[in-house]
Amino acid sequence: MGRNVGGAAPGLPPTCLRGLRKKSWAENGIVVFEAFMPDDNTAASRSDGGAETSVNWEDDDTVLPDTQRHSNAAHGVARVQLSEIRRINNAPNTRDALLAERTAGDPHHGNIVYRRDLAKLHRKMIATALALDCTFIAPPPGMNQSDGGGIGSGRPGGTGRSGSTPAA
Amino acid sequence: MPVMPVHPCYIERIAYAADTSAGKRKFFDRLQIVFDATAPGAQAPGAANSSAAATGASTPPFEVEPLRFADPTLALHASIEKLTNASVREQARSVLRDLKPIVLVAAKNKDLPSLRAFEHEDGSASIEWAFSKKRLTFSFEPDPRESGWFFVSSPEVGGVLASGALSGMQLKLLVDWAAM
Repeated sequence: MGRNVGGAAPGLPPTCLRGLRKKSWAENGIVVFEAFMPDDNTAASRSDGGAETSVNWEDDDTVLPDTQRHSNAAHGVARVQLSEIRRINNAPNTRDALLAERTAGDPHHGNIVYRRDLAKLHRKMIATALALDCTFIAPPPGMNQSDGGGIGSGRPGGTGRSGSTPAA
Repeated sequence: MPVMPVHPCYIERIAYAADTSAGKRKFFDRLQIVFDATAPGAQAPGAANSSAAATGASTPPFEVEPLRFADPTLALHASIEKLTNASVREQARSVLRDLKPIVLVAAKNKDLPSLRAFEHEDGSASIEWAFSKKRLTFSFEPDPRESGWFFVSSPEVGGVLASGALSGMQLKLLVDWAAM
């Protein structure tokens, strides 16, 4: 667990990057909510019981290419505004639902943490709001687009949640 | 058999014309409309000098195949029938039953994106209507008490985050929010 700084905390840049490791997470440039669903496995290791969606904070111009090079971003990168996290935290029915944090020991890595007691429906709604407002950045030419890997952090591995498939 | 693609909005008019014009009869098997030249008073358009009119033989029927681009829910039925979990499937069927006529009315005068159904690995499913700045989602869980709808919109168009249970939801209002 990292340093919790909340949705409106100082010390975070205006944007963070989420690697899209599954093809189904972005279709025709439209990012789906599953790309932002938290990993429930992370809750066990957190004292607050929250569940993490891993991101890289865009502190400088090197973070985007570093994130893109990682296999967890094989299908692109979603750029999220910190202001959107703030907005969600200020909405009446999702008040203080999210934490934005840096991970200790990793200069750019961090998490969007979903509060423990959120209803499943609200978690999906919040993930949809993040997906709707994010900017899709396509993978650079020649990037491997096979499925696999973890969440789009600057670190190897990760603990991504499984995606969905169109029922059609 | 010649086939004439027809926009769905004309089907009713064609059927009405076939029903009320002398000498015509209609068959609704695949919306096939057959002209019967032997019926009393029958006159095929431009057929006065044709061999069919001269001999009284039946004019070849033409088949009407409606174009299906106008129904944003068109792909949903097949998608829902493929859902694995029976409870999830039934919930989705129920929503589609009520949603379809409302969406069709909204789609009459406006191009609307298609609704899509997704099955997730945890057994849940969702019907999503994705616009560029708005998304309306119906979420179906194996435990129906966890199911519901939610609507989100970008800050530029209101910044709404709203949700509710499936029971008692006002579908017309939700469709208006999404499609307006």
